[in-house]
Amino acid sequence: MPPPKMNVKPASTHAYKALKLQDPGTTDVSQHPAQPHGPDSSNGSGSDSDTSSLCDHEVFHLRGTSTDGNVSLKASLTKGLQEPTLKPSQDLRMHIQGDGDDDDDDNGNDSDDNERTPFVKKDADWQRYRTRCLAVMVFLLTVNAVLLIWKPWQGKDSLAPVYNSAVKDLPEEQPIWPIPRSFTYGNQTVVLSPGFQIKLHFNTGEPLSPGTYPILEKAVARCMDRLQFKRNTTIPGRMPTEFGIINTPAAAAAADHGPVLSELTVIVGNPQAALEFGMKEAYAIDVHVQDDSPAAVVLHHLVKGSVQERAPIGQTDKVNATLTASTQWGVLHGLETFSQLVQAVRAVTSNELTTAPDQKTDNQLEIPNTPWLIQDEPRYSHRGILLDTSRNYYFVKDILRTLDAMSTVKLNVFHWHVLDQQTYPLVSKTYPELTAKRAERPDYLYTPDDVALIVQYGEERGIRVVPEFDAPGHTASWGRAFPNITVCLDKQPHYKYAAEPPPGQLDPLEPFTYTVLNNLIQEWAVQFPDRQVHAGGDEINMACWRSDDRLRDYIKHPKSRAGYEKRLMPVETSSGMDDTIRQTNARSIFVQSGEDRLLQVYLDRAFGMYTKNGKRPIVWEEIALEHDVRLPDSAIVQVWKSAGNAKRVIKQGRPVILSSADFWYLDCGFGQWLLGSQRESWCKYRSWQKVYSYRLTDKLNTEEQKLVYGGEVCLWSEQSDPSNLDSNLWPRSAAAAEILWSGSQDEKGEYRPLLHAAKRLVAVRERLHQMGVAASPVFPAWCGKHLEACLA
Amino acid sequence: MHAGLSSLLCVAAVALTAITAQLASAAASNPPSQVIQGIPAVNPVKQPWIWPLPQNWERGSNTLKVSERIRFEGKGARQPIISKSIKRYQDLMFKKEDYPMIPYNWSTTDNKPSRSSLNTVVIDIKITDDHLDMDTDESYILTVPVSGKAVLQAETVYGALHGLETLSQLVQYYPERRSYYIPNVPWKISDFPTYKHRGILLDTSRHYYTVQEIEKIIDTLSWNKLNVFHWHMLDSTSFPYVSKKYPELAAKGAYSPRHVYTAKDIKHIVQHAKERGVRVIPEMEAPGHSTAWGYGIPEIASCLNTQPYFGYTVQPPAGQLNIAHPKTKEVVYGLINEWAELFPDSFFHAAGDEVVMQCWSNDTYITDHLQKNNQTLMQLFEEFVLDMEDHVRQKNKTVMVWQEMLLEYHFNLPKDTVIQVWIGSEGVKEVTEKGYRTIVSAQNFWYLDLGFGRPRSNPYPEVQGAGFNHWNRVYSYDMRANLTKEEADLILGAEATMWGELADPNNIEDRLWPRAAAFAERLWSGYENPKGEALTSADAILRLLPWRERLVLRGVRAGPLNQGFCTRNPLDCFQPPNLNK
Repeated sequence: MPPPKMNVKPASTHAYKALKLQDPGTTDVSQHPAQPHGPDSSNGSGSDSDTSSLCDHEVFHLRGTSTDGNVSLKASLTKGLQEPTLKPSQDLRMHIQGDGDDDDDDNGNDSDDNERTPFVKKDADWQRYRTRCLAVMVFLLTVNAVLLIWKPWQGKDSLAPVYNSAVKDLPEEQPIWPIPRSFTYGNQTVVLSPGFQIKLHFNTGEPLSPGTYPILEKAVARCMDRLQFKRNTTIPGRMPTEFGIINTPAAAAAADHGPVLSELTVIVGNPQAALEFGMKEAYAIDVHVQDDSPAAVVLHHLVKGSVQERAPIGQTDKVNATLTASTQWGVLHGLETFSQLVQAVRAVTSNELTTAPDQKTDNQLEIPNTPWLIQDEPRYSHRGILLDTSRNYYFVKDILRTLDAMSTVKLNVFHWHVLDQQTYPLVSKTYPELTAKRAERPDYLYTPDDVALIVQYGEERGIRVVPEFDAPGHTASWGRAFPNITVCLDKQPHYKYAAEPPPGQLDPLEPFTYTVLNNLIQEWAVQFPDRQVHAGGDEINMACWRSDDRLRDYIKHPKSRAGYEKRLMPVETSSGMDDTIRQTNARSIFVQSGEDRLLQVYLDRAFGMYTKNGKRPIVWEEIALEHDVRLPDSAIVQVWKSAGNAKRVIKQGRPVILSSADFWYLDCGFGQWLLGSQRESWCKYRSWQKVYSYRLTDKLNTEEQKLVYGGEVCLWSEQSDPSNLDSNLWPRSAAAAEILWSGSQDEKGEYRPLLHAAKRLVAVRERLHQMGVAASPVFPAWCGKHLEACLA
Repeated sequence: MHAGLSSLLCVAAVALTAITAQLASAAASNPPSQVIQGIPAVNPVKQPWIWPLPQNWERGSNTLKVSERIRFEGKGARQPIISKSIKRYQDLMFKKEDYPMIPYNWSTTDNKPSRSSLNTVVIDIKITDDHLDMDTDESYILTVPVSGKAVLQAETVYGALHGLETLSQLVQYYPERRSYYIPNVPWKISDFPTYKHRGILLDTSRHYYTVQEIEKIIDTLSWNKLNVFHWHMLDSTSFPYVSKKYPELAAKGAYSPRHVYTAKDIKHIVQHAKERGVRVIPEMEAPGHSTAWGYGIPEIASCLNTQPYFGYTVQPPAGQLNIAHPKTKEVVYGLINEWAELFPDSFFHAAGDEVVMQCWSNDTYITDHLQKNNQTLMQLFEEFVLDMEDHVRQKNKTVMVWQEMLLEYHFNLPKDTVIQVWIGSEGVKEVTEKGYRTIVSAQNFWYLDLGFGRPRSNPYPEVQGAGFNHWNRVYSYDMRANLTKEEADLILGAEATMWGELADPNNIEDRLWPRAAAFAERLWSGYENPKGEALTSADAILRLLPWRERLVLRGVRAGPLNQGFCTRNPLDCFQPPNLNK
C-alpha cells in the first residue's frame, strides 16, 4: 500500500476540534483526575494564552507514561486515537486501556497537585519551570523526530520493491511459481515426443517396481494429466496473456525441427521418507540437448539402462531430462516444476481462437530455453495455510480442492483449525456427544472417514495435516456436551468473558477436564499422524476463570492451591521429547500471578499428554509473550499479532512459525462482523502485494533466523465460508508460498521485486482456474499484457 | 529573551506533537462508523422474511400447506413473459433444505396447518403491453387467503413479476414435515418501489464476463427487485463490442476474438433482462477512458499508450478520443446509432468522466485545430460532448452522464440530463441544488468493488471512508441527507457499482451479494414505511441473514455475513451498546 495521502489542513482542524470536544477541561487537569490523557489530548489544550499551564500539563503527562517506557507511550497514543491499529482481542484492548488509566490515577494526579499550584501563582518559580519545560520540550522534540522518522502507525506498511533488476527472473513463457532458488537456462527449444513418458528410478539406477510406491506413481500420473491437458486445451483461460498456447507460425515452425525429448528420468534416493517437519524437499532438474555437462554424465551413468532402452527419435540431437531428489517429496515438487516448464504450442496456426472451446486440439508440447538446470529447495520447512472450519463449515471437497491448489505452489502444511468456540464439528469415537450436541447443522461434521481422506489426500501431495485443538480458551463448544468441564459458558455480557461470543473456557481444576482431554488426545494422536499438533492457547480470558468461585479461590489464595491440585490427574513426566522446561519470563520482575499459575496447571497436564503421545506442541504467541508460565523447549510458538513479536519469542530461544496479522491474515478487510458494532474491524484487507512483502527474518541475525521454522497464512471464518473461500485464499496464498519457498531475497540477498512476481502470478491464477479454483484477479486483465505500465 | 525562546520552543514542540498525532490519526483514520439503528428485534420473524421488505403487509396466524403443483390462472398467467417466469418460479419456490442454517421460527404461526392448501394463483394484469421503462408501474397486490386461492394483481407485467418473487419468498420448507408451507396466512401485501431507478453497474471491459455469467447476475438482480443493469461495456483496457460498421474496433481492441459481445449476444442479454423486469442501459465511455478505440482506429485517439502514463490518464493505459478529428465524431455517432437500436431502453449513458486535459494539450493535432479555430480546449471539449449528447437525444433517449460534466467542467447541460454522482455523497446536494435529476452511486457507500487493496492502477481519489463498504454501511446511507424536499425529489434512484479492476467472474458473486441486496432494499422499501416508521438495519439483518441463505440455495455464491453461530443466533452476536461509546 502506498502511504495514504494526508491532507494536512482540514485534517488538523478536524483533529483539533475532536480533541477539544473530547477533552474540554484540560486547562485544569486536577479537576478531572479520572479522565485519561494522551499526548494528543494535551495538545488539544494548546492555546497560546496558556502556555505555562500547558508545559505543566506535559510534565504531568510524561510522568504518567514514562514508567512503562515505550510501550505505554504508544499505548496512550493509540488510546487517544480511539482505534488501536492492532488490537485483536477485546481482552487485550481493555488491558491497555486499564494500564493507561492506572497511570493517570497513580502518578499524574499527585505530582500535578504539588507542582501546579506554585507554578501558576508565583512568577519567582519561573526559572525552575523554565528549565523543566525546556527539558520536556527537548524530549518532546526528540520523540517527535523519532516518531516522524519511524512512523510506527505505518511502519509495517512498506511493500516489497516494485523493480529490482539485480534479481534474475525466469523467461516469460515459463512462469514457474514459486521461483526456484537457483536456475540457469539457454535458448534452445526442445519438443516433447507424443509418447513422452516419466520413469522412476532409484539412485542406484534400478527402476522402481510398479505398484510399490503409490505416492510417486500418483504424482507421475497427475503430472502426465497436466501435460495431456496442455496438449488438448484450446484456450488457457479468460486472460489472453497466459502461459500456455502460443499461436505464432514462427514458434510452430521452429518447434518442428527442434530436438525431441521422449522421457523424463526421475531419480529418487529414498521413496519412502517420512512426511514430517524438516523433511528433505530439495530437487534438481536438468534438461539439456547434448551430453556435455559433467552433471549429465554422472546422471547418465546412474540411469544407463534406461538411456539405452530409449528408441532413437529420428532427430540427430539427443535430449536428456533428469529430475533428481533424495526423497519422494522432492520428486513431487520437481514434477510440479517440470510441468510448469512445459509450454503448449499450437501446431496449426490461422485464426483459430474462434473455434469452439470444447473442440479438441493437439498442441505441441515444448520446453523452451534449454538447457535448463534447476537446483531448488525450500527456504523454510513449514509452509502452510490455516483454515478455520469451526466458525463456518467447509465441505470436504472444499478442503481437498484447497490441498490441490496448495500442492501446485509447494505449500506443505494444512493447519486445520478444526475446533473453536462456536462449533465442534470433529466426530469423536470416544465422546460422540461432543458433536451430537452441537448447535449447528447436524450434517456439518467431519467423520473419522473424512479426516482419514483429508490426511491421505494431503500426504499424496506432500502436505502435512497439522490439526489444532484450541484450548483452554475458545472452548465453549466442548461445554455443550460436558458443561462441567467449562466455566463461564454463555455468560453475559459476552465481551467480558471471551473475545467472541459465546463465552466458555475449559475448567483447569476439574478432574474430568483431563479425563476428556486425555482420551481425545489419544484419539487425535492416531487420527492425525503428523508429529506436530497445535495446542492453541490464544486469547485466554482470565475474567472468565475469575468468574468461577473455585477458580477465583485458587487464584486469590495460594494456600488453597495444593488442595485443588491434589484432586487432578498428575502431570505426565515421562515425556518422550527429552525436554527442558523453562519459564517464558514474560514479566520476570513479577511473581507468577494466580491466573498464570492456574494456566500452568492446565498447560503442564495438556503438554504432558501431547508429549506422551509423541506429539510436539505448537502454541499461539500469547503463551510465550503474555503469560508467565513454564513451557517445554520443544514447543513451537506461532506469532500472529505484530510481526515484531517474532524477535521477542526468539529471544527466549524458542522456534517460531510466523503469521503476523499485518501481512498474512487473509480474512481481514470485510468490516466488523459483530452486529451493530460501531468500531471498524481491527484489520484491513491484505492485498497480494502486502502478502508478498512479509520479510520473515527481518531484524534477525543468522543464529536467530534458524529459529524461524516458516509461516502460515490464516483464513479465519468469521466472514468466510465455501462461497468466498477460493477468492479469499487465492492467489494471495500463492504470494505467501513464494516468500516461504524462495524467500524474500535471492541468493545475493536482493529483495525479489513485485514486478517479477506479478508477471508470474497471472499464470498461477490461470493454473488455479484450470483446477477449478476461483482465484481472484490481481489487476485489470489489460495489465496482464502490459505489466510494466501498471506498476507505479 | 530566554523565556521567549523557550515558550516558542514549547509551542513548536506541542505543534509538532499535534502534527504527529494528527498524521497518525489520518493514517489510522477509518470510515465513519457503521451504525446499527434501533435496538434488535426480539422475535427474529418480527418482520416477514421477504427481501426487500414490502411497503404494506398484513399477516394472520394460520399455516397453509403449499401444493407443489400450483395452477396459475387468469389472463395474466397467459402473458408470454409471465408464463415463462411461472416456469422459473415453480423451481425457485421449492428449494428444499433439510438442515437450514436458520430454521424458521414456526412458533409464530399456527402449528396446525389449515385443511386447504395453496393450489391456485390468479394473476390479474391491467396493461398487457410489455413496454419496460423507468416510468413503468411496478406495483402489485398479493393476497394469500386461508382458502388457498391466491390473487396477484398488478398494473403491468413487471409488477406481476415482483409479486411472483414475493410469493416465492413466502414459501418456507418445513424439514420435520418434509413439505412446503406459507406461515402466517392470510397475507395481504400491497407493494411498490420507493425509487424508480434501482441498478447495478457492471464493468465488462477491465475483465470479461460471458453472456451466461451476465445473465446470471441479471437473474439475481431481479430476485432483489433491482431493475437496471448499467452495462459499462467499454473502457481503456478493452473494446469488446463487435460493431457492424467498425469491426476493426473489436478485432484489435478486444482481449481476444473470444472476449467480445456481438449484436446477437447483446440482443440475447437485453431480452433475458426484459423478461425479468430489468432494463439494460449501455454506457458509451467517451471521450476519456478510450484507449481501446485507438487500437482499431488509431487516428481517433490522442496520447495513445503514452508512456509513462502518469499525467495523461488516471489509470493505464493512456488514451482519449481525439475530439478535434472529424473521424472521431463519425465513429462515435456510428456506434450510438447501432446501440440506440440494440438497447431499446430510453436511457443512454454518455459517460464523460475522468478526462485528463494534458492528454489533449500535448496532441499537436488538437492544438493546431484550436489555433486554427481560435478555440480553447474547454470549448472544444464542451462542443464535442454536447454534440455527442445531442446525437443521443435525436434517438429519443434520455442522456445520463457522470458528475464531472456538471460539477467539474461546468458544461451547459440541458436540464433533462440525468447526472450520476460517484465521487462522494456531497455530490448529490451539488447536483440537485442546480436542479438536475440524479442517480446516486456515492463511492463512499455504494462502490462494492473497493477495499481489496489498490492495484497500482486504481484511480479512486482519496475519499473519507472509501474502503470496503460493509453491508451495514451500504444499508445505512441516506441519500437524502441535507437535501430539501424539492432536491430529494430529483433523486431518481441509485446504482451500486462493481468496477472491474479486481473483480471478475471468479469473485463477482461473493463481492456483490449480499451487499447489493442491502442496497436493493433501501431503494425498493425506502427509509420509512408508509406509516412513517423507520426501517432499521437492526431489523434488516434478521431478514438479510435468511435471504443470503436463500440466495445460496438458489445457486448464487453470496458471501457470508457472519460465522455460523451468529448466523443462527443473531441476537447473541449484537455488539453490546456500552462498548460503542
